[in-house]
Amino acid sequence: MKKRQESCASVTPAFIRLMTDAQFALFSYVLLLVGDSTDARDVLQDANVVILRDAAHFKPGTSFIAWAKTLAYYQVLTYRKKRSRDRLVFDDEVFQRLTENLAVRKEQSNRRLDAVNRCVKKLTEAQQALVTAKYFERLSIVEIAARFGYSQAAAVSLLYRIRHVLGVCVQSALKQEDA
Amino acid sequence: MSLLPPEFEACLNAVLDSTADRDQRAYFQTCLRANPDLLSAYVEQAEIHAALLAMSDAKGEQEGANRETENTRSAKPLLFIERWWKVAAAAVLLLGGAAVWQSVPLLSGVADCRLPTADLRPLISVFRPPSSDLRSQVAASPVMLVSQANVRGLDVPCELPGTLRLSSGEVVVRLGSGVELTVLGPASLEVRDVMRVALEKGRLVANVPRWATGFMVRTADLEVCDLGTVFSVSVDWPVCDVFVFKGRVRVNEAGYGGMENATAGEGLGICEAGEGVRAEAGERPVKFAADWPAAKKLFAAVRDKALTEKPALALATAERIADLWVEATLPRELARWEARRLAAASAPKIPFRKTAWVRPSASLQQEASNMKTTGAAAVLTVAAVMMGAGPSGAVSEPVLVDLSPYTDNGRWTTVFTNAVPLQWDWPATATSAELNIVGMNGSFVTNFTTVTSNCLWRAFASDVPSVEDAYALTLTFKNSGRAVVGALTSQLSVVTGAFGETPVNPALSDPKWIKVKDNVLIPYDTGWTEATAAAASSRLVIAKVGGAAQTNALADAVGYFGWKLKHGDWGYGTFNLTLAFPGTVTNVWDAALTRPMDGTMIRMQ
Repeated sequence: MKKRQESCASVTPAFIRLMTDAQFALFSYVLLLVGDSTDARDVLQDANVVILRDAAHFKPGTSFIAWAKTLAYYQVLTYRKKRSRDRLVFDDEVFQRLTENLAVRKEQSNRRLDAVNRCVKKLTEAQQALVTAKYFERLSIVEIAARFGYSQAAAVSLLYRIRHVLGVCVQSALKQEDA
Repeated sequence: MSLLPPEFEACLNAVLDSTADRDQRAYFQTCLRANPDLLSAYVEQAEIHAALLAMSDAKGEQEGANRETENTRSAKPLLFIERWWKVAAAAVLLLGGAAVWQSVPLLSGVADCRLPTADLRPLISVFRPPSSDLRSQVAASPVMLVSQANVRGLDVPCELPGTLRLSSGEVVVRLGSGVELTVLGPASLEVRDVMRVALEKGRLVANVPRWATGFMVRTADLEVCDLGTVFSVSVDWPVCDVFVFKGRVRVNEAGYGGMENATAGEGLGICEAGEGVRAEAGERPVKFAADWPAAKKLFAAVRDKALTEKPALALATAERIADLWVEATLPRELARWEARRLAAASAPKIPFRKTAWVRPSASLQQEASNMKTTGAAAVLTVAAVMMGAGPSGAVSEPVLVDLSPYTDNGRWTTVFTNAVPLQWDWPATATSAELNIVGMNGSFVTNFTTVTSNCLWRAFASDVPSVEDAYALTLTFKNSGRAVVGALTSQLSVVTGAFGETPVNPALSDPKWIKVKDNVLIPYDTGWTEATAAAASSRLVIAKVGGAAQTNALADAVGYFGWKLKHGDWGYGTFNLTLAFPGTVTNVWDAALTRPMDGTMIRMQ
């Protein structure tokens, strides 16, 4: 009970603001480790609950995202334990490699999200239409293929390329901002 | 971009979209393991995918906010606000508040109705209170008024649970969960919390965002559980209609009791777009569909306008479709029900056989975090030894009872020993719980009156099960006032193949192959073929040659269906089974089954 009261006292407006601002970074981190978008959302929710529960342990002035990511990481491990092995996207070896890869990568900040937003506007009309169909209308590949008259393989391939183009564009944009 | 392995793009896409089957996942990780460049490619793709999903979520919320005509909005894009209510709910739980949902403050102008969680406001500070007098009045309400037209006699609840009353006109309100309700008067709507309402009279159209899946509308006759959709409910005694414009809902007959402690009513199945249910007091509800040309035309004219433009017209059309359907088909349906009722009444009664026992392990007063890990494992081990579970004291892997009964219950666990440890998290607000386990061959109920996080259940008496079964586990938590404060579910299968060797008899003439004398456990898995792997649900039709047919809409993509053949109402004869996966190609799995008097013969086609 004492622990609970401590947590409550620590869930201040400032803490909630930090938490809200970190949601994209946390989702991105969890998605990379989990692979599956739906599961990633659930894991993120579990992580949010733990973050709120352990709010008292956060030391103001230190990196909130780093602290929250550690808690999220443990939630990913819990998810991996719960999930039967054949339903996991990554086995232990690949998961380990991903963890190492992410440890040396820059945080996914809201600045990056803004950059993606700007880069989407630089896509061709046809590419923007595909992005809209896939992410904003949430159409399946089958539906996208039918709407645009592509084969399913072509639709998948085009979306892959668009994401790659956006990735390159975002890197370039952030580099320019930092320069 | 370097040359990618064949199918890598498709597998990556399927993985990110949560539609990958086992083979795709295996191939995908083989690629990542073999080539570090592909690992980097995955990271890049997943990061952009996450960003686009975040933008999409934010846009969805922004559009919702745009519908508030007089709102001012923060210039900052919304990030993952879609889930804020769950985060807020978690915070409230931490604060020890029992009224979880009502304490979610939607608006920054909270005044009289301010609740202890005002600290959470920054999470959702993009909402602003409307400015007119009436709107100022309801701004502080957990039920937010979005728009109104020709309104008279509007009463919006100031706290939850509360009742929204409307003498006439049309209002659009938004609940803290993001669910938007268009209510047409005269209407009386009890808003129990942000995920449950009860329509006493009147008409409503519910637009449920996907993150609020599980939203429930209850009437005197029906219970509608949303599965991500736009649907309508109208109550004009003695008739109650449900109609789906988009997505799907699960409809049950309303159980007994109020919303807090209602018993589960009989399932009427899942309704998809263009389908609905009509219930008339004293009569059994009927499911209908706009599947004939005239109805299709009516539905097509309103399906996209239900919420945004002409909800009154959409509701009237839904009622018209129901009227037409009932006029055309009800006499035939009534005759079928009567025949079924008579058959059921004349069937021999099955004596109750309790084939399982349960005993809670030592009460665990510790925090939930202790229950799940080594503490629970140690308790289970002790319990297993004390009770001599199984020939070697072995138990199956712990089974988590942790799924929501309001959403698709898609995870199955297979039992490998007769002693099965069950684990769950005990809600802080609960003082007692009831565990209900229902299978084809037996069922039982047990109660917990102290905080308990696990128990050991013996699923069958011998070391190896003599029959297969599918069990639905439901754990219902209640507070000191006996009100339901939560529910968790799980699904278990007992498959004889999981216990040691399984004999394979290739010769069809071998009696061991063709005769099954007990109930039938039918597995289904959308991943059996690539063409059906993307399906989210399954459908099993059982048709007796010259007799009744039963369509079972299965909410899972993978699982087991327990067909209660023994002591059931099916009798003897030949049955055709068809397993299909809606939303994919028309691939179906067929089986023919003959049940002679001395056993059941199955012939797979």
